[in-house]
Amino acid sequence: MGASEYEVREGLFYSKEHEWLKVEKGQVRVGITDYAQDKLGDVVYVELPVVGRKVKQIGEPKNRDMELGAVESVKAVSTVYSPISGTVKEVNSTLQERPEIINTSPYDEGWICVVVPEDLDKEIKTLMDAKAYSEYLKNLG
Amino acid sequence: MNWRLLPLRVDDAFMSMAIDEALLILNAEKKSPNTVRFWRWLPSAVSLGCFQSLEREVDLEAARRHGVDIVRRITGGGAVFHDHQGELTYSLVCGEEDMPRDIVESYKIICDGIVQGLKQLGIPAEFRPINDVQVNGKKISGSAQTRRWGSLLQHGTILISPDVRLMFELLKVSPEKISDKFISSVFERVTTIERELGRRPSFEQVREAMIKGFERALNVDLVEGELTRAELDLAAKLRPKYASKEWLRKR
Repeated sequence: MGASEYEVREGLFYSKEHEWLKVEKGQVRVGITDYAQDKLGDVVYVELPVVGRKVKQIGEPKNRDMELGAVESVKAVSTVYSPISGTVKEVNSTLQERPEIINTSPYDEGWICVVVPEDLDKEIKTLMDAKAYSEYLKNLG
Repeated sequence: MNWRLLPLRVDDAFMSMAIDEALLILNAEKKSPNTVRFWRWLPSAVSLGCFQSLEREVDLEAARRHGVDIVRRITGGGAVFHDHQGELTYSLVCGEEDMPRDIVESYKIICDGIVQGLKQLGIPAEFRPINDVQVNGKKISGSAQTRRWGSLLQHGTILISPDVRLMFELLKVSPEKISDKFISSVFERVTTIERELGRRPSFEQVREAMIKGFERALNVDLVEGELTRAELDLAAKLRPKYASKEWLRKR
């Protein structure tokens, strides 16, 4: 699949590690992108963060404080990083019964959690918008 | 490029998993080099995939009876029986940037180390996606991978002469499948170095062949080194997690 065949949704913000973030009132919703789910392959289990957990925004070098959870596919277990610093407010517990919705609906049904951000205005500038993320995917080849 | 090669270790399941995680964490923190190691399980053990259900996969009573440890891995995949006498296990830790982003591509490169190693022993093997190595269509090695914190851990089996009957006692297979017919069909799908060669090479011979194989597949020189103090300390700190009921019974 070429980069242009992956869905990149307008209005969302994106991390280099292929997490998306949607700004809602006083909170953000987080998930993984269409590209990420395609690269992972069929998702068989999602380890969700604990509500109330504090997370840090993904940066280099990566560490465990930036981890929101893990996704196991038929290929491997991969970390899901947090695109924003804050506190986990809500998790998508539907994923425990139906992890495959990450594959079928990465931007809607397959959201992972809701985070109350610490400093949204500052941190959102470090994320990509849809246009920049599309370019980023193209350059990944 | 040089990667570190660690000496053959024989540890219990909990220590082995702790060492692998310590290497992954410290590699991600750029404090440990890219590393390949070969090791054995003592006692024999069953390892579970990161999120598998314990009760569903393992006959706990049989494990107790045979003195077999049970451990939950941080990698994905299925339940595996690891025979102290019959398996050489490998682990590889490197930066994510040192491998293709595509997971199957990275399996192909790393598993090619086993393919090349088996060739050294005179066994014609090939990579079978997603993560197996086969000889004439029969599995001889399986691997599992995790990518965390910017680094990659892959570990897997190299079957020398495992006790397949014991494996069936330990792993839960639906009762109707445990017939002689089913077991012989597994013998047709799985093979071992001993079966392919008609003799049993030593662990050291297999390891030497695998070292050459991994050097070729990864296009690196494997340079002998030791675990560092920091790695051993972190492994010692992580071991109790793997030995704990909470971790084992997580699912």
